[in-house]
Amino acid sequence: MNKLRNYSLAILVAIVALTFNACKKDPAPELPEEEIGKASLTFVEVEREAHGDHFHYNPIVGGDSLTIAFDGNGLPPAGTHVHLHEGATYKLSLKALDFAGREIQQEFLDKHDIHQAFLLGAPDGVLTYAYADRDKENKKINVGVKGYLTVDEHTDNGFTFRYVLRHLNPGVKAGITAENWNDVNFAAKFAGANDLDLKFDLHPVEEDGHGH
Amino acid sequence: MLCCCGIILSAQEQPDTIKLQEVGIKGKRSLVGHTSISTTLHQRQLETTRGSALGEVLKSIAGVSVLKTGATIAKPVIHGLHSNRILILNNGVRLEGQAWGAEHAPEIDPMIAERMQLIKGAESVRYGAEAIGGLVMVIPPDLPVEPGIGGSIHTIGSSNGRSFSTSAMLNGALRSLPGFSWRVQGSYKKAGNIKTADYYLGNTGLREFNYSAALGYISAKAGYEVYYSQFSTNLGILYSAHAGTLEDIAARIAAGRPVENYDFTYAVTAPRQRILHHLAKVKAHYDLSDHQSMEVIYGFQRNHRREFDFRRGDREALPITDLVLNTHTLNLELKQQRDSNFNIAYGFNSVVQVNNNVPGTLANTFIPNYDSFTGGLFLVQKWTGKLWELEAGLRYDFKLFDAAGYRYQYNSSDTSGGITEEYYGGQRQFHNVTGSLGAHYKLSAGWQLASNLALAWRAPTANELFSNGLHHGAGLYEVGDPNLKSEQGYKWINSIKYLSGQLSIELDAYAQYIDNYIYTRPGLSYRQAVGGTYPIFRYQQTNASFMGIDFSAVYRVLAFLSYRINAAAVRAKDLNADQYLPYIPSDRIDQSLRLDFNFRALSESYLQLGHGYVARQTRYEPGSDYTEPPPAYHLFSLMAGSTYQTGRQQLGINAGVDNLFNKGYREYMNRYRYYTHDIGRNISLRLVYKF
Repeated sequence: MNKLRNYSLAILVAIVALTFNACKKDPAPELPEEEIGKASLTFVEVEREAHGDHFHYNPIVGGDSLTIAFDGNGLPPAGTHVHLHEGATYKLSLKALDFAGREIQQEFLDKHDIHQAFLLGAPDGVLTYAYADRDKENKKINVGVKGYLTVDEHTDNGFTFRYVLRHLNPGVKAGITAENWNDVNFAAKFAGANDLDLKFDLHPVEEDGHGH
Repeated sequence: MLCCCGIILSAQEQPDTIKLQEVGIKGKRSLVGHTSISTTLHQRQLETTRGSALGEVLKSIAGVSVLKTGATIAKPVIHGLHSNRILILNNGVRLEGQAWGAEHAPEIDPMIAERMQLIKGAESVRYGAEAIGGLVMVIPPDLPVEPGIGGSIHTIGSSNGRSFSTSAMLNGALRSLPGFSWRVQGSYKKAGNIKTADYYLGNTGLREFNYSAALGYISAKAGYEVYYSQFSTNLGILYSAHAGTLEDIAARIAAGRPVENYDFTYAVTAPRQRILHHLAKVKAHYDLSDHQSMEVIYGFQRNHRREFDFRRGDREALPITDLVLNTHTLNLELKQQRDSNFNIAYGFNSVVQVNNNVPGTLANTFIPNYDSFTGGLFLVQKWTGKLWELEAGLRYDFKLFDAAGYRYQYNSSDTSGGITEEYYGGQRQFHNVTGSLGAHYKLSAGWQLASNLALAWRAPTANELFSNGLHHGAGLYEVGDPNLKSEQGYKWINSIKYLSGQLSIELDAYAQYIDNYIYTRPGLSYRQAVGGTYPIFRYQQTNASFMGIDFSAVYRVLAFLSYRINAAAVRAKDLNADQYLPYIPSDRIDQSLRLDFNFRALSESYLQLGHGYVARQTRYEPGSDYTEPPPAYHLFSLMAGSTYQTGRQQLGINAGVDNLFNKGYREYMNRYRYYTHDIGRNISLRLVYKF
């Protein structure tokens, strides 16, 4: 049994060594830079000028301007109810912030092959949207960080307007055109996940507006 | 495993006697006793599935099914239980990876196995925690005893995924150094996009490169073995499973198949998993006396899991999860044969683990860093009679789990708009006493009865305790519970076997009660995020029951014609809520008709037509899943093979077609069944050369 005692001692030493060897590193706080912190959508009224088969958009001095700021949960301020005017055109700009408050919307433009925004919720014939993004070579691209939204008709009641910026699966963007800007079947047809899903009450009103 | 006994025979001093120096007796015995209800896959059976993942290899055993995540990830399921509820022994060392994830496949190369043994009982007493559902042993070939060099080369090609695998093994024993032997082995696999019956599945390729080396020495009273293996894989995750919110998932289900079309490619891009698993093992066996032996096995494993996802900006090159798990295991077992009918074994097992998140992922950590220590003492006694065998075991385990991490607080932000992080974790201690009772009885020449009653346990895993984040691809948000208790499973399994020249039958019936069964269910609340709304699933505990039968039989209709059937059914319920548990395999039957023949110099030739039927899972809770379980399906297969032997050299060929009629189907146990169909027709050719 001497042998057994010797072996047992060796094993005990090994166990003790292993036990003291185990020591996790202190956890390091990991800044989740993946997270998109906050976002805002800004409407600035512009003049739409027909130019052959397309439009030019000109700034209006003193035109209406409105910014809706969404919090980290993608929610607008409580009670947000936005009026846009029939016949008017608005430059709609997205600003997205990362966890540290830095602007990141340029990332969506840099990777325009996998990003596209969809504007949803309006009844047919009420809104028209035109993508107005440019890539680094100044070529036109359809992303939706910048675009022009025209109110064609007013509605009796408001509706929930939804701005969805889609992070598309590889190869999907090739099958999407500018005409799909309000495709309600975007989730089924254009596979991917949403980087942003921003909602607020929108009410297109007659030119002179109305009071609630 | 090493069943080589050095016996010194001192012959009596008589004129015509010859003095023998040393006689090596080599044989293969089961690693477990008769009281354990087990099934073994031998080399010949393994040859027909070479190149497949471990889960796919094991599913030819009645009672084993596979939990799949798409086409590239497969986990074995024993009697409805998987992941941390089954234990895998890789060459005698318990496999320790990040097994908690349903999409984390075992980090093991099945090509190394000469045998695989599956124990269906809850045998925690000898092997430690987590063997609640059962135990899988992956057993490499024994190191050779006779001097010389031998080996084997396997080459496998498959049409679906245009995959190519090769494996080579070389072993030998040294004449100049008696007692020393060695083995080296390596395998490589390359596969591209898998095709369903009608379309390719984008990003379902993989690369795998594995190798191992072993060195052994045996003397009359001792045996030593040093072993090292590395498993590495880079596997793609189906693009089409990339879904965010429930809206996305519902749209994908409504479409019935991916709307995006992909072609064949070998390229693997994000989302993908890159896993590297090292195992080093030292084993020593001593015969302390004629009736007493001791075995010590020390193992070290390093598991490095990196998962890459679709990410913002250029972050796809950075892993979103980067975990390193180091595990030390030490097993000590002392065996004594008190008399010819009575054996006793007692021992000690310890597991020391250190899990760390590698900084730099720029993403929230899903599980914390942790240290864990588990120590267990066991005693197993066995009584053997002429017709019967009885075994009883008792074990005590202690586990210390100490976790610490930081995580992003989704629901609060500081006034500057930045994020706030919270420290989480804590120390938990678990004590458990487990036991087992087994009996085996030979009723007659052909009939055998076995019964095994065992209690097994497992402590909650890090994700069950602490997860708090989005489960990518599942469209849900998982929240752990740091106060979860240990799970305890009581499993009673009975087996009746009949074996004659013409017919063999095995019927296993089991009932299992799991106390504090850990599972997730919808918490009826949602997390609102900037990208949408996600349902919250919380880890909870209940009491659960699992009951079922496994049946297998082979009937030799004629000398050259045989019929084989495997069937399994399992019923599982959440007893507290009186509801069915999700992801329980539906009833299934596999049957085949096999023609065995010899043709000129070819031996072991066969032609086999197979049919598999998987029923629809009708036992589910409506509203608890995104969609109803898929319909039942039938699959057919055809397989043929032969062997050519000349001297010590042997050339074998196996050719097969799975899903012969290229049927489009969905399997309930595939987590991506919501988005895609399962794999279409696959033609495989397997060549083996042994020398």
